Amino acid sequence: MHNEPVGNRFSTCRRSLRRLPVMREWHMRLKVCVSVAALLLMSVVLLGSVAAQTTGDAAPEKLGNYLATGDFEVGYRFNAESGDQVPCAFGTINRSSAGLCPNESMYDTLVNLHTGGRLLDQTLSLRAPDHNGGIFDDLSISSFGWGDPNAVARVRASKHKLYDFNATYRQDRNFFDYDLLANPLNPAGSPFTVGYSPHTMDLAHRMSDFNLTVLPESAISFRLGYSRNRTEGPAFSTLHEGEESLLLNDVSTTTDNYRFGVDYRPLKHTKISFDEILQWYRGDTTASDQNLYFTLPNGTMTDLGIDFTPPSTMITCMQTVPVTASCIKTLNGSSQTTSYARSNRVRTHTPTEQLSLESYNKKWDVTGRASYSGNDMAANYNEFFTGVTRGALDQLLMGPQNGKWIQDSADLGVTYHVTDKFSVKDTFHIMNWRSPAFFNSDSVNFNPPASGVATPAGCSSTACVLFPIGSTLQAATATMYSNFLQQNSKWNLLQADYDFSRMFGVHAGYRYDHAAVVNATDSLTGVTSTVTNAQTIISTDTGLVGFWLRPNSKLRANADLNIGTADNWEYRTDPRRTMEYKGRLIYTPTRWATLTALGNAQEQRNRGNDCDPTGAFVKAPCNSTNPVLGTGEVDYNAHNRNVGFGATFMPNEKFGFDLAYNYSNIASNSFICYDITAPGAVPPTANCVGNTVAGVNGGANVVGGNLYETYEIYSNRVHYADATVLWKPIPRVSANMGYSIVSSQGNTTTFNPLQPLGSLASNFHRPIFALEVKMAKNWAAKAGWNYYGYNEKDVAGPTLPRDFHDNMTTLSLKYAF
Amino acid sequence: MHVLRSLKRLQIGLAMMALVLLFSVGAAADQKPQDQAKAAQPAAGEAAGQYVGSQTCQGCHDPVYKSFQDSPHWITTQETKVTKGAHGCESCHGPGSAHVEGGGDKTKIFTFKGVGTKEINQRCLTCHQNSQEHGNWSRGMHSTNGVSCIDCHSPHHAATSHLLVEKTPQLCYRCHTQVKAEFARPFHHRVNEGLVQCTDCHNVHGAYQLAHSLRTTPEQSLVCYKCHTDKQGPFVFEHEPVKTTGCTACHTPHGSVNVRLLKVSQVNLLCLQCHTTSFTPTAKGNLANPVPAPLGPAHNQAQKYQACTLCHVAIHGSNGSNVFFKP
Repeated sequence: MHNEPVGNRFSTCRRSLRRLPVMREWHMRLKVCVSVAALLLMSVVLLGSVAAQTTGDAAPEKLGNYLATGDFEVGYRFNAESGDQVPCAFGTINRSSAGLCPNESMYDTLVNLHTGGRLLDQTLSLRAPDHNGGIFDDLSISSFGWGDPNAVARVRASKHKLYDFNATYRQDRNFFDYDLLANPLNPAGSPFTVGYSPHTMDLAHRMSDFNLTVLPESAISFRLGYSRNRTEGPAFSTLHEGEESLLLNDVSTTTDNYRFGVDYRPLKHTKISFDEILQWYRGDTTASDQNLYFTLPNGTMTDLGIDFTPPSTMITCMQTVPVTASCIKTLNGSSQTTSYARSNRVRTHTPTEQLSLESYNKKWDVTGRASYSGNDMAANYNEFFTGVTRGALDQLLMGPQNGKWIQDSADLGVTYHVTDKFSVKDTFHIMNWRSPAFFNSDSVNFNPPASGVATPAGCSSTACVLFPIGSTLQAATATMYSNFLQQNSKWNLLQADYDFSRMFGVHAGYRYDHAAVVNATDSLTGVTSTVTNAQTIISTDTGLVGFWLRPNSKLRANADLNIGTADNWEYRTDPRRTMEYKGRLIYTPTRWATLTALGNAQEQRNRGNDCDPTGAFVKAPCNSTNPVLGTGEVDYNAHNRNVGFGATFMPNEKFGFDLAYNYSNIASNSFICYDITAPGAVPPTANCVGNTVAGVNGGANVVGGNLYETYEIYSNRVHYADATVLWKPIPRVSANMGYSIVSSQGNTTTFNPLQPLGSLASNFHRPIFALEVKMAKNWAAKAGWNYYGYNEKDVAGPTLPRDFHDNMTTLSLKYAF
Repeated sequence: MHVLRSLKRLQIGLAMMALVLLFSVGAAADQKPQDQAKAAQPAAGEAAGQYVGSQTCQGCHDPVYKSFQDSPHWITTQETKVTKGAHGCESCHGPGSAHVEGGGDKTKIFTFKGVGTKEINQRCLTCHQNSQEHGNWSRGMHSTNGVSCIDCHSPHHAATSHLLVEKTPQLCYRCHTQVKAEFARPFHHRVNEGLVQCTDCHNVHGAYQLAHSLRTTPEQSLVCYKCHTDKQGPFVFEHEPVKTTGCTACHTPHGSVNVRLLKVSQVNLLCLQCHTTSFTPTAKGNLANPVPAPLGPAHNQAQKYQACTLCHVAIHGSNGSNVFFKP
């Protein structure tokens, strides 16, 4: 199934039907639409049945020196959404019996298929049978999805001994508005609830890749490549300047990648390659505040942010119209935005050189690669803010930014075939990257007007949003940021494979990883410098063992086991112990039946101590007998366990079916410590250890002064089931029916009672039906029905659970030659 | 009643016998190709056959020859630097003179049925070993687990480009069924929609990056940056695990029930797993260089600060804010 870009949102069917009073009910209109579609389809089938009898597959057509085959399929999609989540807008007609409407934002986020015409599929193949074509011997052009959110086009062309060319164009319309993401979940009594995601986006992503190999069969061949990656469109984000202002971003990023390569074959089984890759990245995203909804007495519009937790005085004040002087007094010190504009023009240039080698003979095969990449990033930051933020009025932040990313890496892989049955393999990797970066920022506040302007009523200080912007600047505050991040890593895997026979083999190996991370930061403001310097070194040992089994052509099985231990950790979620088990069985008892079973589990643990063995800091030294400060205070424990079955039966061309089931059990737990008042559904167990001294992390700046520790839980159980039946009652007719469901259930530590489980507890149903009728030679009519049903099971939260049901009918005609 | 019970037992017995018979026939049938394969291998001291040319093969195998002629393998009938020493059909099936003289004796020529995966793969790698795409095959997970080239490719009966027996991702789903379930989840990379292919991120023939045979970008960075270039940086203020651990520190790349393909459903929970309010100076055993943990938030999780990314919007890295408040 291909998805499509957003098309015309208004169906012809709806427009014409809306005129009839009896058709105002959405389900009646859906019935009529489906009935019309069914009637059309029946007509096509009947016509097809009395049409020309010859409906076999089209033979290639001769076009000059070429044999041509191809097809194209054009159609139309009819979309009918329904659901029981949101109150319907005035005049909406597709409301449920409860008077509610679907969450169209959620539908657009997950599916995004709408009514409209489509070029569903297209292929063209030109082939010179004698390999003596003109510009090309073989040409293949294919595409699908024009009119849908996702469209792809591919071109392949080749000329014997001369060149080989391929190109891909991909287009993705990415709409996102899952309303829980970044949502402040304003409580009841707030001026309004935020019924959308403050990080909504509607972006178009276009990617194209071109690759040309010249003289592919020669001792020296050349490769040229070009790729372009462009993202653009509107998106919301938020800005924390005291309050969370809502910003509108004009997203614009472009990446151009050029590749030049040479392959040299000095010997028959040896190839040496050199590649030069040049990449340019341009980031031109801008942001501005378009959420100015509150009018101040002087007529200025202001944005008070989207987060409306108490104090209740502000809420009451905002709801009072016209605003009073005492309200101004409440508001004048509060953070708010009267205008905001930001641009950060980023230019990054990345040249990379790479040398690689492949060589082999009967005993050895060797591959190697070494590369060096050094990029330069230059940006200019400009931010202009008017309003009040943290007690200051009107601010300008600007400055140049520079960064580098220098990376050198090498890989080597060697396999030595000791005997026909026994081989030894080694793979080695080393990489060093380092990234210094700088930001010389100047932050300037504007002065209020020096004279001639009376203090506005209600303003108690000059940090008052009612003061107009002055024309003079205060002294700039210059801060120089200098950061450095570096990682050296290397790993080596040594493995031995032994094939007891052509039916059974085993392998065992050992892998050693070593990584060192250096992180240094320095910020200098005036004469005050803040420096941090940190280094972490982690070594990991992993043992692997496994086997494969192919006793006959009908049965295949394989299993693998990896166990690893690390001596250190950088982040609390870095596993000190990893275990991975995998097993798979594929049985093909007959030519037309395949049965599959698999199971795998990934386990991760970090039972590290979150304490100080030196005793120099707040916490007491680690003590294994002390249950509070002892082992396991991180106690990170995560797993991903999976078991699945599949069956495919295709006894003949007329009938077949396919079944699949999969169960996943995912969990992630650890001790966490956080600030909370009015704790959520899972109460904290104790006060956090060691956080009682002012100035130490959570000490002095605790809001509410309540730091609690709990063993957080995240668990998710997902069931997936899929069944498809293919039926061809007569050669000209084929039907495809199927059903898939993803049912998720889970649990997680809840901090805020208004936070629902959301998609963690949801069902996603997708039945399908498709019918194809070959009407005449080269012509086929197709009809398809897709249903998308999504619903969430947890009713908590300021909005109803996300819910939509969509019936998508697609009618198309296909011509093949 | 007694008769009915007997009839039922008889039916069950017959069904079991049928199953046993089915498996036995299947196992017995498999003996023949293996026996054939053994016979096809030239015995020690036996003279190798002569090459007869692909045109000779066409005489009996015309449909197969036509599909071969239309495929990229046709190049093996031409003498080039790369295909030097190739002999068309006989490049893979070996010298055909004995097979021809034997009147089409299948035991006198190499067939791909009933032979071990190593032998099959060696035949293909004779030509295909020397490429950046296939060079790491012997060290890859598919090779290590007994997968053969013809499990996915069919030189004579291909269904789609690259001589594959089935289009991707359905071909990959035949064995990787859990991946099929992952891409069916609500938030997923658009593989089923055709926008992204398995081979965009994975080198199925083996890669230097042994974990999941992941590709890299041309400049040896994470393959994710091929499409998500705006997250690559470098940034003045890096979110360290993005660069040291990679995208999988927070995301599950195939599909997730969680928004943004995150590992957990609540963003705050994901952040607190690392940024917990505690002091972690030297738990890593590096006393010479104490490593303070990422500072934990002192924000009231029950209220305003329940969505970390509401404020820390540029979480993949920022040029303008050391706490990622803005890009």
